[in-house]
Amino acid sequence: MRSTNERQPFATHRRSSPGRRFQSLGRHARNNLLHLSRSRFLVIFFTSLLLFALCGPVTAASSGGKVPAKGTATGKPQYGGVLRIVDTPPGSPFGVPWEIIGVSVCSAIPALEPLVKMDRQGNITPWLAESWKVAKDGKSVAFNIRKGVKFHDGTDLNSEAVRFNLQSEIDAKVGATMTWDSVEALNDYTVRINLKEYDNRLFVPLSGTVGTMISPTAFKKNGPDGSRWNPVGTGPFEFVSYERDVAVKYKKFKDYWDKGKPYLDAIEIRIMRDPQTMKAALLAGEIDVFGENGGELVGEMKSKGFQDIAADNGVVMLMPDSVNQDSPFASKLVREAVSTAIDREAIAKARGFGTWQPALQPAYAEQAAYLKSYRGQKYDPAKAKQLLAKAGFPSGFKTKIIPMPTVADRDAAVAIQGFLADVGIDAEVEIPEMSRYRQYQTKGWHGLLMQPWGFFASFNHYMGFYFYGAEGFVSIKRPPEFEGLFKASTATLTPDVKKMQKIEQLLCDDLTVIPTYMHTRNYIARLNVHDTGHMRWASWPWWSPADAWMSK
Amino acid sequence: MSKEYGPPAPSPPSPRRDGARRFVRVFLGRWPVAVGLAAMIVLFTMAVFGPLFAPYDPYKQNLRGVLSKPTLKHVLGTDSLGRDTVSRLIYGARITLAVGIVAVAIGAAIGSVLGLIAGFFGGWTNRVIMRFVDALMAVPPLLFALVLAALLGPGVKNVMIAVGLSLMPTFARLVCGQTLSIRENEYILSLRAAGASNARIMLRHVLPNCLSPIIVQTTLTIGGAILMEASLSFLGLGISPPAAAWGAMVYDGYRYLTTYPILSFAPGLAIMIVVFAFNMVGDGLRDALDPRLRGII
Amino acid sequence: MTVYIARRLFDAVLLLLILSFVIFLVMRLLPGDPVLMLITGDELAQTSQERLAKLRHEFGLDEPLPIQYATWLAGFVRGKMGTSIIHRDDVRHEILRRLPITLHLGLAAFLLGSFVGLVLGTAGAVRRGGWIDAFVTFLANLGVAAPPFWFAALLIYLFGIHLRMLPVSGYTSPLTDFWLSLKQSLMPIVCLAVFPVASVARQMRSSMLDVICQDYIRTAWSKGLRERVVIMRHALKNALIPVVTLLGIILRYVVGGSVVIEIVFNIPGVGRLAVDSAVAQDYPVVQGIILVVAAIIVLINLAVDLLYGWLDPRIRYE
Repeated sequence: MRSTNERQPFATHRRSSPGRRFQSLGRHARNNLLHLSRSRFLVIFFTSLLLFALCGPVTAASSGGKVPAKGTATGKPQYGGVLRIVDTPPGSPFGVPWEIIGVSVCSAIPALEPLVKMDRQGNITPWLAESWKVAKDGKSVAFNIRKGVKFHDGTDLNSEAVRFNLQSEIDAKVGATMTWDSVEALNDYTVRINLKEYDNRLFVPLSGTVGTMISPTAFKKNGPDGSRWNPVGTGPFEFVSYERDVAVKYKKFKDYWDKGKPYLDAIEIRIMRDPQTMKAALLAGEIDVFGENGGELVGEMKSKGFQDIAADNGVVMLMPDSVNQDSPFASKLVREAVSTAIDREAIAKARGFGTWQPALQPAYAEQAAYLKSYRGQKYDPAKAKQLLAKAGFPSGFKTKIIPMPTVADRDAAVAIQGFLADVGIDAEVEIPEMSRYRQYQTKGWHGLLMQPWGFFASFNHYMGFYFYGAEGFVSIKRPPEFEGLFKASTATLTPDVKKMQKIEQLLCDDLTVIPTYMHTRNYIARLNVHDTGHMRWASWPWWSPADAWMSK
Repeated sequence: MSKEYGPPAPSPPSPRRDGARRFVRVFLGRWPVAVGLAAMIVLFTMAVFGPLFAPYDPYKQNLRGVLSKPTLKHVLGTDSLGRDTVSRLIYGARITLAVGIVAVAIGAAIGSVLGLIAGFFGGWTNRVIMRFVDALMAVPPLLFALVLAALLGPGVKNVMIAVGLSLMPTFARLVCGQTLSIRENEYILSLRAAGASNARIMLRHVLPNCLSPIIVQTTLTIGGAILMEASLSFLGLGISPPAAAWGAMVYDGYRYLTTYPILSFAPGLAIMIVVFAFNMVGDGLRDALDPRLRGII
Repeated sequence: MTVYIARRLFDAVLLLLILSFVIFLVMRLLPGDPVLMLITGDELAQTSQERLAKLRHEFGLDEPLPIQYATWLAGFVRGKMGTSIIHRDDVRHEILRRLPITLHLGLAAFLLGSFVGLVLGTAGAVRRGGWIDAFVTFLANLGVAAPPFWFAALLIYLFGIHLRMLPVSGYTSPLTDFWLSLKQSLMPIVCLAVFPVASVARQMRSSMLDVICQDYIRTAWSKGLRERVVIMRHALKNALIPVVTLLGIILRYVVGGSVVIEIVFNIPGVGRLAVDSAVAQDYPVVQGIILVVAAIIVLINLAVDLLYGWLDPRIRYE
């Protein structure tokens, strides 16, 4: 075996100094060493030259400018510019409205428009439909289509186009069309939807993907496969390209019906997965806006000279599996104990960084059903323990908290876990993959699901969305009176405040679901970005690309 | 002295006492190995006795004092839920080491068994098993572990299984190679001629001779297993909260990289030290047990 | 020689077949229903059972398992890797689009790392005990131990945000815009190269040390040959042999490491696709990626083995 000492013919003992070592080598070796050093030196020299060369063009040509430009506070919109925005990535195709799933529509907003738009107060604004009339018997509604609107492929928006779109929704058996019977085009610019029964939530889906219009000519020409990733609509921007995981690109549509708009030359929806990457990109000037759930970046970015366009709220709800007989949550006392054990203020403050609020009831303040005087449960761990004992769990129990992946704040879930642990409830936090979460949702779960309930201006739609529907949240036990109240509330011609408040009171008294905090989705932008309209409409994906402009 | 390439023949038995002394001398001969060993001892102590010294309960949240900078009360500050970083680091040693060791144990156990059987029986058994192992080896271990972890779901057990299975092929290959050469030895052949059962030969005679490479490989792989757990946690597939595993801590602190870098920096550094320690000790073990393994492991 | 190559290729095909079966089994036997991934939150209430059934049928998810495997395999062999369940686009098209990106970064990191590691390892061995050796040993051992995403975050913070020297995300092909491509890929490649540099340096130093003590090196040295000649001509080639074995392992780690790097630097490569698809249980995509990646690794390993043979003429191929 070689011993560790007799290694090197060239270098000598470890114990000698470098100088001595050098001297003890023969002349030959010394020259060689220098020779080697020289070539090494050359390598280092050229490498640093290269690096220096890299730095030069980089610092000179870094795009977007280092200091965010100061925007004019209000003022006349200026034309020009390319808006680079990072938003929720398209998880599924966004070109065909009756196939669009959930927030994937985000990627198509510049190009697509709906029949009507709903603002946060629930007021319906005419958009592609100029006016409408609901029949006296509630069995049909007729829309007058705006004239002079063109699709991106040059064809006109007329009643035939609208009929085609709406009929496709019915054919695809989209849930919202369940109460629809048929659609007919009465004349060139009037379309009538015949209903099986009247439901006052009618206009909500029509302000979303159900009422979104694409060009039938383009759809027939490109076929379903070709149209999937290629939205040909009436919007202010034309679709240019989609490179998966990179960007969706749009350019200004010259023949947009709202003359004078849009102001921007182009929009690039960049796709990024990680908030750190988005933040770094914004700081480096590579993008102009990014959207993010959670408040931790807001304070930091504001201090660095960016603006916060707070976009949307969501009440994060704990959903107990009250349907299961053997579940502790079947008992109202236990649900009340859970609600009493959580310090909502602390969570909102610690995780929200100023952008979150405690949520005490399911409804939002903007919704008509909101109960102004309801105070909910005050934070009181001692009382929570008493309630648990009264319910038959003096030493607590084991359960699970299942937050929705990527959307529900992980740390907030852990915070809630901590609060429950303080009163003796041993909760495990399980963050499943999205498809498993769906399974829980649709096939049943054990424990508490934790998910933000999105903002809807229409309270009825809100209730229907989360309590009914083909597969939603099967493990929540609805109080027996709920069904009747809900049916009565949706049958009136216009939503009745008293009826809706009755539902809200029922939910509060029964603690069917346990609201915790209200989070916001924030859009952080450079100061020269204006009027994106993120807070204006009822749901945050539908911002206003036509109104947005950038100052120089 | 010519250098042989390929699995070495097992060393002939040497007198115990001299062997032990020689072992220690070679093992501790290089200073990085000694440092690594020291670090490992510190880590294990921290894992076992740490809870006694941790200043706070690592799970105790303090929502009024989140993300605080280092102070005398909290030497490394607090995290996003107000938990003390130092305490979490100490408790984290347990989980991190446990995951690393168990995962590698799983991989080593399954792999060794497979390799032993394949090497010993040869022929078709060998071909079938080794094809299977080669197939798995063609997949990058992180990719394999990631797919497994995504399918199994989050949780400590699942991470251990996912990482362990992705490390299994290396052990199988190694043990198979060793077994193949040992099998041809005279004393093995004579045992067979004497009528000893296969199982007895495998367990009593072949396996002990494979132990050195297995031990070295195990030690060297633990570092890799810990890094894989950290990567899985970073991708959101690792250990579920509120566990204080170091990989998960880096993931948690990543959001605050520019404002409170210590949250990610501290556990990241801890991971580096652990992996470094295991690698150094592994190197030392290899040199001390059988330097001819240098080309193989 | 040709027989050897042919046999190795046959083995490779067999191997990939077995792998395809294993992966298929693993993905299908574990719980979860990918069709439900298509229905995200908002629309859940609106989607009917019929639509779900229709989707399931469209992807053949309602057929018995062996038939699903046979169908998929038959298509795969013909080059059709199926359609992604989530994105509804052609799997092969998507993988082939991203593969060059991952290969670009991976191979660049692999080559850069190996080369630098070689140089450092040799330097450390030749100047054993000196400051270079200490430096190399220290760096190499740290490099093997550093978590890649942590190192990446460090670089991003330093060069991307603080010094504003390099862009922090995105990827451009060098054929489109060479300078931009270089700037964007520099940090990812460096991060990916850390592990190869470290392990190659360690191994190279170690095997170089072994070789240097050999008699034939002593002979060359005593003949009065210059140091450079001794090292380059005689020692290096022999010292490389164990390192070459290591290269196969390093390749796997580089490809695996690109998963994390691609996410941190927002690069649309195969690794990122793998993570997103695995999480979404998008079976066709995951199966396709693993097989394609495995095939590439197997081929490169074959090339490495041939290199092995060139380096050491004592190895004969039957």
